[in-house]
Parts: sequence; structure tokens; C-alpha cells
Amino acid sequence: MTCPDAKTWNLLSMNLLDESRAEALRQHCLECERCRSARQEASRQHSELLDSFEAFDCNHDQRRDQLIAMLPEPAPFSQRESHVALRPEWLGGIAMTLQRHKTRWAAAALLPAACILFAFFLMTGEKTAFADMLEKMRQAKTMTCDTVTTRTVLEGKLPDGFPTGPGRGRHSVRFDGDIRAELGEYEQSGKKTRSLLLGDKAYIWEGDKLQVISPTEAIDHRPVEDLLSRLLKVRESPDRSLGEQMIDGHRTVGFEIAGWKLGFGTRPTKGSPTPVDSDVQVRIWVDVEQDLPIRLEYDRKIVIFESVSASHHQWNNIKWNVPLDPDDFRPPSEEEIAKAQTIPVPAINEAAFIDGMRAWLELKDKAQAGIAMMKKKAEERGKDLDSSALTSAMLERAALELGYPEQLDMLWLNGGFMARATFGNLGEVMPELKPIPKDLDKEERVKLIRAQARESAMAGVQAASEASRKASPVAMFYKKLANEQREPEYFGATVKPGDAKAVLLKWKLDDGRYRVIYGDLRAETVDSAD
Amino acid sequence: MKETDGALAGAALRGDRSAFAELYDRRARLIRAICFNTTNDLHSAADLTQEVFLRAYSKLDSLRKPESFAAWLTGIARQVCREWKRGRLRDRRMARPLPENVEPTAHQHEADPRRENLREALTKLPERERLSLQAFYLQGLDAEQARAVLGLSKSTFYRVLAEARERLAAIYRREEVGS
Repeated sequence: MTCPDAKTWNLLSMNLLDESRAEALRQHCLECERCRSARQEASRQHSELLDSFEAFDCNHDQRRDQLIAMLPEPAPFSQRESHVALRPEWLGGIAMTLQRHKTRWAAAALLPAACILFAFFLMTGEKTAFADMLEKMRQAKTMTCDTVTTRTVLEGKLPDGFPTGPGRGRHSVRFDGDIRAELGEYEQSGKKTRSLLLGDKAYIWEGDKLQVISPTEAIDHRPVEDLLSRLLKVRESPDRSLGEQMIDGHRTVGFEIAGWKLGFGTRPTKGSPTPVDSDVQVRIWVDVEQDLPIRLEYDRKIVIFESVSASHHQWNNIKWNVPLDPDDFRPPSEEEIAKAQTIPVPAINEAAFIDGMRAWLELKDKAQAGIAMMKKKAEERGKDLDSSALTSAMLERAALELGYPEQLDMLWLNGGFMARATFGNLGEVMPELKPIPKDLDKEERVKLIRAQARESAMAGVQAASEASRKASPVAMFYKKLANEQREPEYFGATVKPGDAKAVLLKWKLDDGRYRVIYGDLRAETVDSAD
Repeated sequence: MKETDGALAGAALRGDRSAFAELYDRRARLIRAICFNTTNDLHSAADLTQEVFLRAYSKLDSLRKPESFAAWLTGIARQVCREWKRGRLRDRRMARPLPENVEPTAHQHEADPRRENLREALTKLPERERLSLQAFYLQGLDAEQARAVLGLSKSTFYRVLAEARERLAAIYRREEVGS
């Protein structure tokens, strides 16, 4: 028998090998001094681990009794809707029973019961119907819908040339595993736009003019796919049931879900003013026959310089699993791309990932300087920095307590990069702002503040946009490795920046070895044994 | 026969508090260890664990696969830890302090450097490896239950566990040499 490796001794010490193998190893130890010592070492570590983990007993019994005493009475779930929803098929079963027995008396007795059951279904079925809808959506291969956006100016005046008429579009989405594709054709105020999003590339045609942009910058051009993918990640129940409604001849049930759960704004903070977009409610109407949405709508308030508008977004005529023409999803030819106006699309590779991580760390330093400046200004006005919900939401997004990003989700990262860049930019802009004279009346002061904000806004938008361009290679590189089944593992939540020994990201190479990026952003290829 | 987590969760949903207490007995040690990864302090970890179980109880009806109770609970623990990290829960009193007549356990009195070094070394492991060790050692050395927490196949779990032990030994050795 050849000498086994340390892993085998570890498994033996944990009693995880089958008895015949364990016995063979024990026999081997009698003859091999080196393995005897390895086995003893593994057993010693096993005992130490057992011993060390005892610390987590922490007055277990008392804490358990305390917890049980603290459980709310009655249990919260006993007051909510039933977990098990009655299904219409059950009523079908009752109807069959009636037919089989042909007993009028039985019918008379069962009919009221059936009515009660049906009413109960209507009351309790929604929660399950929502979960069923998500499940069906996850299985869908294609989706098409017509979109309509209307805008009403509530306050002030939109800048000249800003499109105000209704926007109409047609969107087709193809789901191929994680790689999604969206084709959109949109028209507003006579201006036609066509967009095609394929994985990490986005092609936008305005008339005949083609632009190639990164998916992060294409967010405005992917309203359907983006919202759909966020909806699919929802794990909670809807916030409100909207009851039944007939839509285009289909019986539907409606649900409302808070927009912040779908990426609009942030969770509203109690007692603070509502930050932008946090009051969006998304309403979804589900066809009860197929458990899939046929309409989705939401309203947003948009502040553009000195105007406030309300926009209403509606997806109508949603159809699922309809055949789509593969030619529509074909990327433009190389010739077309060569002629296109190309906004540099960041490469999705190791170097871009490292560059993105470096930018994340640099932005933290800048953001902290910006926050210190904001704190100083706030103190001068006798306020706390995080007294506004918008600032605290931005602070939460900036996640300045973290070293590396704790997750590699595109939306999360994008929010983090942009929030960090925005704070950093404020730190640069603030010292240059002219003081607002105190003797002005409120209206004049607001005007002056807005004018200053407008001047600095472009620089802020530029900074945030540049930062968000760094976010996509970070998220997309990990996704690419996962799609290529390279078993990537990311440890950003625990690795400290600069730690040359801790593995930040690792993935498997074709030759079975591993590529590793460490906490100090150094990369090397190692044997799996390392 | 020992009841499954799913059966206990079902009983708890029907109002049986002793079933929830049994779930606590089975999983609280693991949750404390997960919380300790964030707090690095046993007392705070124990407090966070109470918060995790209180949340789990209030959301019990949203548990879609009762048999996956441990994995679901681990998810809640991670969320609670994230909130703690961001300072949201740090200042909030999550659990009443233990009654004064309750003696702290022996482990809270002693500061065994070897144990502390080992716990310190554990924090340096990649998350999956650390969780695999915690799930195994804190759930009665039951590999089947531990792998369910991580959602891994048997062979992958064994590999991760053995690698975790190996890496832990290397870190520990390095630190011993360093000290």
C-alpha cells in the first residue's frame, strides 16, 4: 500500500471512510512510522476541533428557554394566510364525485361546501399563485410584450428638446440559462431606437446609427430583461393582493410588490423623507389559467433638473414561450461594428477584474474624503450626515465598511461603485461651491442651490458613469468563469485588501491547475495540491 | 425515532413550541459559530443567534422545503450577520441578558490559547471550508446533515472538509512557527 495523503488521514480521523478502507489504513500504520505520525496528527487536530467548538455551547439550555419564552404569542404565521392553498383541481374532484353518484342530495349538500372552498381558494390562493408564477417564469424560454410609457410634468418645465410624448415599444426576451438576450424596438416623439443585448454586448441603433456599449451603460435600453431578472430573484411573498380583474379576455389576479425589492430606489427608512424611486410599486397581473403574467405596470417620479415628472410604464400583451426568429438576435456584422460608434467596452478578463477591484478600493478612499467633507458641512448646519434617507441609502450602497465587495452581483456592484464615486465627487466639488447668502428668501436659496447642483451634476454623472464601467468586468468575469464551469470561488467577504496569503478568487484552468488572485491582487497559477 | 427537521418545522407551524425548541437544540451551535465568524465575540454571536431564531420563527411559514431547514436558517444567519456588520443591529438589544443567577459556562471563564488560536485559524479559511467544518463538528459529526447545510454532494463535501482540515493545519502550523 502506498502512503496515503493528509486528506485521507483527516477523513479517517472524522470517521468518514468505510470500514474496510479504514482497517487497511490502520494496518498500514503498524508498518509505516511516517503515516503513524500523520494519523496521530490528524486525530489530535480532530480532538482539538471538537474541544474548540465546545465554546459555542454558550449557556445553550438557558438561552433556548429564554428564546422559547420570547416567541410571540400567538405565532405570527398563525395570523397570516394559510400556507397550503386550495387548488381549483380539488373542486373538479368534487364535481366528479357528484357525477359518479348522481345523487341530487349529495349535490345539494356538497355545493355549499364547494362554494365555501372556492371562496377560501380565492382568499388563500394568491400567495401560492405568486410562487407558482415565479416558478413558471423561471422555466420560460421566451417572452414578448408591448411597452407603453407616458409622462406627465407635475412641476416646472422639462429642458427643451426632451422627449415628452408617449413611448411605445416591442420587446422580445430569450432566456438561455444565465445568458439572456433582449431585442427592443422603441419609438418616442418620432425617434426610433432598436436595441439588441447579447450577453456582455449591447448594440443600440438610433435610426441607422449603430452604437456598441457595455451592458452597464445599456441599462436604460433593457427595461424588460432587467426588471424580469430582478423579479425572478424575489423570494418573498407579494406585498398586497389586488384581487381579480379581466384583462384582454383573461381572468387575472393582481399582486403588488414594493419597487425597492426590484431595484427601484432603496428600502424607505422610517421617519425620513422618501428617497428617489423608493415609493415605486410594481403591479403584476397573472393569468390564472397559465400562472404567468400578462400585464405589468409601475409609476415613477423623475426629477430632471428643475422639473418633476410622473411616468407610467406598462407592459401589455405579455406572451410566454412563443417562437422567436433567431435572425432577430443575430449580432451586427463585423463590417457594421467597424463603422459603429463604439463606446469602449471593457474587456472581461482577469486583468479587467483586478483593475475593477483596484478601482473599488481607490474609490473607497475618495468616498471617505468626500464623506468627511459632507460631515463637516452638515455639522456647520447643525445636522447629522445620515439624517436624510437618501444619504443613508447611498451610504449603505457604498458599503464603506467592506474591504472587497461582499458579492459579485452586477446590480449590487454597480450601486456600490456609483455611490462611492458620487461621494468622492462631492468631496471634490464641495470646496468649490460658493456660499449661499443667508439673507436670501427660501425660494431664491433653492434656485441658487439648484443652479450650483446643475453645474456640478455633469461632473458627478461622469464620475459615476466611469465608476460603473469598472463594475461590469468584475461581475461579468466571475459569471463568465461560472458559465465556463471553471468552479470559481470568491471570498471577498472575508479577505482583507493587501493580504498576500488569502485567496480572493480562484478558478480551475484547462490543465487541472488553478488560477488564484490573492488579497493583494497578485495572480498566479498553482497546482491543485497548493 | 429521531424526527426530521421537516417534521419538527411542521409541528412548530402547528403551534408546537417544543418542536421549535428541538430545532434550536440541533442548530443553535452551528448558527452561533457562523455568527462568531462575523462578531469574533462569543457573547455577541450568542445574541445574534437569538435574533436568527426569532426571525426564523416569524418567517417559518415561508420555508418552502421544510427538510432544508438548516440551509434556510444558515441563510437567515448570513443576512443577520450582514446587517450586524453594517451596524444596524449592533446597537439594538437583540435578546434579554441571561438572568444574573446563571453562571457563565466554563468556556467563557477560561482563555485557552490553543483553542483561541484554532478559532483564529478558522476565521482565515475560505468561507465554504470554514462552514463545512462548523457544520460537521457542530451538528453531531453527522456528514449527511452537514452536507445538506452547504448543499453539496457527498463526494464534494468530503473533499471540501478534508481540504479544510489540511488548510487549517497549515495555517495553524504557520502561526505556531510565527509565534
